[in-house]
Amino acid sequence: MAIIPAVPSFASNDSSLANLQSLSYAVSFLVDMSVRPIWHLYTGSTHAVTANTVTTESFPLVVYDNDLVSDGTGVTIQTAGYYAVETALDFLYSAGTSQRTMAWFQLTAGANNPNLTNGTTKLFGGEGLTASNFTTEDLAMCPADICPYALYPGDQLRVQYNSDTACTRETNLNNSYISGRFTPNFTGRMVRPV
Amino acid sequence: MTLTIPAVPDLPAGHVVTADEMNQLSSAATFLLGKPVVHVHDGTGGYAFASPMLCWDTKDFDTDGMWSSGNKDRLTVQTPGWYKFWAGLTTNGNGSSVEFFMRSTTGSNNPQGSGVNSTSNWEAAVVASAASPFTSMTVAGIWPYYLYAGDFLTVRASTVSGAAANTYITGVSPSYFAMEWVSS
Repeated sequence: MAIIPAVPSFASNDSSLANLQSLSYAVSFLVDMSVRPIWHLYTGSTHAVTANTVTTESFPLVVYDNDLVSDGTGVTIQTAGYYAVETALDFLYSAGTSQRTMAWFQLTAGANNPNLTNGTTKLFGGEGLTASNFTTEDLAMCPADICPYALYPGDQLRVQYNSDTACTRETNLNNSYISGRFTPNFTGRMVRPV
Repeated sequence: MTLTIPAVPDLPAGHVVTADEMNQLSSAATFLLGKPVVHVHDGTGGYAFASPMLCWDTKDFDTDGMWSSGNKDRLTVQTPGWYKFWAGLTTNGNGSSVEFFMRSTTGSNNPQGSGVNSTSNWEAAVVASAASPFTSMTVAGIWPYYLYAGDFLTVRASTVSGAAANTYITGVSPSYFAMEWVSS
């Protein structure tokens, strides 16, 4: 859990080393991604999507995660704050069909959230697309939002999606310029403390 | 509720740092930890796609007074700066082709004078669905113009073809609009 900085005030002829260190830590928290909560998770696997079924994506691999929020599926918040999140997903589209897919973020409140009952779920940041009459290629989307609720330790964030057509959620397969060309990821950062 | 943009002091070699200068540095850190950020959403549903959208009826958080219940079509900058924004419109329009874009309008503090509209930016478009999974258009980015206190952003949507589309909230992530101060 990151420590939210307490910014000091200085008196005339103040020689307090503690105050200088508090200010130094506040600056580190603001500018250093090894201090401030930030994460980049991804998956290297494809996933078979069942039609008309809400799927929770798993991002088991970590590029960076300085606040240890990764829980193997999405994130479990460790430090209270407002967070901005983004995800990138690509779905294999079958030529000549009409395919609708929507992705979004799900917040599940934990026991420490004073504003939401433990277990409450909230959806936010949805993006949904329709593809039709294309050649075989990917339906790609990049939902992004600030979570509309302040998050507290134990709150969970997930990436979910639903498609009306059975398909494959792709990963980077390096075999085509129109399909399977990027790795699904889930990134986030603290915007400001609560 | 305009926040004060911090003035970061210059501290040349040999300079005896004063308490005022140290407190200026502290103020800069305090400002950045508490910078302007706002998030609103459509809490009702059924709003017609319009220019501007009038659906921002629910404030989630607003640290700088950018949202007003009397002007639910906009987010108004209180503290000047460069801003990042997010917006999304969710609809259950029955096969309608819909689109939206972002626009800023200057206020009286802008050197251009008030009432000057920006060009359209970050347009999104989609064919809406009347059944689950529904459709939602989203945009995000750093606004390309420096914003002064009183300038405001709006989300401007329209139904290009098909039945008139409305916003939708049942069982889905609702339409949303958010801004974050990025830099002076």
